[in-house]
Formats: sequence, C-alpha cells, structure tokens
Amino acid sequence: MEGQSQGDRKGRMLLFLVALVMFGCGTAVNPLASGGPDTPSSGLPGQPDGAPPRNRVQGQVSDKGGASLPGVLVTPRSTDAPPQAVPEIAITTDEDGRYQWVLPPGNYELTFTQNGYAPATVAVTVMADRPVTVDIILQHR
Amino acid sequence: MYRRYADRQPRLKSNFLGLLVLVALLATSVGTSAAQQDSQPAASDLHTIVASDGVTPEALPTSESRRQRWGVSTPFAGTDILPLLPAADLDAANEVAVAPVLPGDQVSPESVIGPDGRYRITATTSYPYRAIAFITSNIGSCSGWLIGPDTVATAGHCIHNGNWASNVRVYPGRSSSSTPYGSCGATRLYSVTGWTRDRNRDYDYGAIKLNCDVGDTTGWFGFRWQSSSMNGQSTYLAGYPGDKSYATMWRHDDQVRETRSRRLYYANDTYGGQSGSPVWNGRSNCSPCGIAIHAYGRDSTGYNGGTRITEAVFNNLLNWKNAPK
Repeated sequence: MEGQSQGDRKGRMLLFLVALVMFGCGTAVNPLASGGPDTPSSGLPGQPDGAPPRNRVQGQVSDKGGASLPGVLVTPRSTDAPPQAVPEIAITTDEDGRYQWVLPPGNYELTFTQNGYAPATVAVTVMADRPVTVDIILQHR
Repeated sequence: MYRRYADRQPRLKSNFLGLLVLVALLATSVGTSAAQQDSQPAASDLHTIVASDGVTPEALPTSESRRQRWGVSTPFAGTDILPLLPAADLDAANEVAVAPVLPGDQVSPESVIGPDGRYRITATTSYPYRAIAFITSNIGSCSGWLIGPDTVATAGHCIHNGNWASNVRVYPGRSSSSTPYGSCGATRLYSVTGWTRDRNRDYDYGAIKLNCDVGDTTGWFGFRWQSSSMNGQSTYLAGYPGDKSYATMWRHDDQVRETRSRRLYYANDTYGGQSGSPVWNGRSNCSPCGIAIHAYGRDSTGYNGGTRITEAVFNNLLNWKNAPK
C-alpha cells in the first residue's frame, strides 16, 4: 500500500510537472511575446514602446535689450537614464523669437544657440499633464 | 481482481484530477494569449494610410500568401538637366539663409557618437545627393529623399506633429543658399495611423507628394525590405543637420548595429534636422537603396535609429510613389 501511495504521489507529481511545462510552452509560443512593438529580431522579449504621452515645451528667446531673437536653434537632450529618444528635427525660433517642441515626459536639457551669442542650456522637466514654458535671454559674446 | 480494481480507483481519480488541472492550465494560457491579442491592434492596422486631404490610395496586397522574404523598388539616376524654374520658385532659389551658422565644435550633441565623423557633401548636384532634400515647414526643418518623380520619403514627425505640417517646402540637392533644382511645395502629406493617432515611433514615417516632377531630373532612391537581420550591413546616411552651416548636406557612414522588427540602429553621427534622411546601402539590383528612414537620436540602445523599411512600410512607400498628385 505504501508503495502504491508513493506511486500515486509520483504520478501526480509527474502530471503536475507536465502541466507546468505545457503552460510554459503556451506562454513561449504566444505570438505577442515576439511580435509586439519593436522586439529584437532574435525573438528575445523586448520592451514595448507603445504610444507615450507627449507635451509641449515652448517659450520665447530674446536678447538683453528685450528684442526677440529669430533663428535661434533649440536642441533638447534627454538627461534620463536610459535616455529618451529625441526626434531629430531642427527647431529654430520664429520671427517673434518663439519656439515649440513636442516631447515625451522626462528630463531634458534645452540648449539655445545662435551666432554672436553665448549658448545657454536649461534643465527642463516635461510633464504629461501640462505644457512647460521656458523663456530665455541670450547674452552677446 | 476486484481488489486490484478497487486499489486502482484512487490512482485513476488522481490521474483524472491531474488531467483536469492540465486542461485548466492550458485554457488559462490560451485565454491569456487571446486577451493579449485583443488588447493590442494588429500591426497592419497601424500601417493604415492617412493623408492630409483625406485622399488615400488603396492599400497594396501583402506578400503573406506568397511567402516572400524581400522586395525592391528600383532607383533612377535622373536626367540632371537643370529645370527652368517657374517664377515663384526663383525667389525660393535665391532665398538667403536666416538660421544660425554654428561651428561644429560649439555643441556636443547626444546623437554624435564619439568623435564627429560627419563630412560635408558639396557636390550636391551629383547622384544620389541631388535626390536628398532639405525640408522646411511650420514644424521645423528636416531631411527627405526622393523615391519617385514627385514623392519624398521622410519621418512622420517632420510632417505631422499633432497636426499636419503647413508651409511645406522641399529643396532637392540644396547646398547653403544654392538651390540647383529650385523648390517644390506639397499637394498632399501621407503618414499612417500608428504615427498620427498613436504617436508610436515604430511607425514614424511618411511622405510628401510634390506639386512638381523634380524627381525626373534629380532621380530617386530605390528602397527595399528583407525580413532577416540586417546587422553588419553598411549604413550610409546623409541629410541636413541643424548644427552645421544652414542647409548644408552632411554624410556619415557606419553599419547596422542592431536590427529590430520595426527599427534599425546604427552609429552614424547625426543631429536635429536629419530626421527623414535616407539610410541606404547598395545591392546589385538596387543601388542606392534605402533600408530605413532616419528619425531619432541615441536612445537606450546607445545608437541612433530609424524606421526600418519592412514589407508594410515598403508597400506604403510604393503606394505613395504611384499615387496621383
């Protein structure tokens, strides 16, 4: 009897293991595990990028005398770890010195560059729920 | 016999219970898969074409049933006979640069990986450089590349940033204030729902339908897709970075460092303004041949990246190329 109950236990254990293995296989062949957004071609599970929320960083650039500065290049750089990928558009201020970037939430450095002026860099946190305004005064070299 | 049968009953019961557990677990697994599938739209939905004027061409059939593993659209070198510019474009051709002229060493951009390896292309009227375009709009300045007589491929975010871009102007082969082929406006902008609706950077691509046929003169790039890994393949990338002299063309060469299902990563040095640039290499039946559309600076991979020309992207590019103005 003891031998039989041991056999029963072994049988149950075996069935349980088979069930676990099959459950594991079911997860491994799930097409979404390798077919979601941007997974490595190797088939390794990747982090989906999805559709992140974005918001505006906007403002105006002027000189020390208060005159609007057109044509100032405004370049964001992600300071998060790991960094956010930044779209590679060149955005410059318009004739009123205004600019606007649309970025995913996170921490950035905005660099303002214009010939004849000292570049300025400002730390900015982009939030999902409201736009951020960064006005800058550039100093002559 | 009876006793033996009676002895077996507990074992049969336990085996039956085990089978029930097994069936339940399998059902859970299948149910989870189905739920996950339902929660995400199919990739093909995200490649659904949208157009700035609502006029979308019919989708091309995919090669799924043909089990195809690659596809090619052939390049054309153009006639290079300089066009007679219409009066409206003469002004554009003589346009003076208004943006800053920055020495390259003023900035240390995230997307220049190591020492800046970019070199300036001054012979922008030679092929294939004359098929690369400087693009301006209310969104900012970008790059693009001709894929047909009147169609320019670019990044989705260059033409749609919550709204469609306005005042789009395309200058093929521009070099500073020299615009040897004049400029063209846009009759229509194309992208896909994965970008315009979902802002998903896996789908960050689009095209500009031009109001001219400048591609007959400048020529155009071929483009291709392949389903296998592209690691190690050459990546030539040229466009108009904003940290260099205004509207000048710069190039850097590298190779595919990482192949993703919908993106390619490379260590070509780039900068803001180069979104939409062609990432190309050459094959016997397609040279120069676009394999990606540059879109983003360095991310967690440590590399710059672009939207990979997959079969679905290829089909849409081909569709846009063949669509009437």
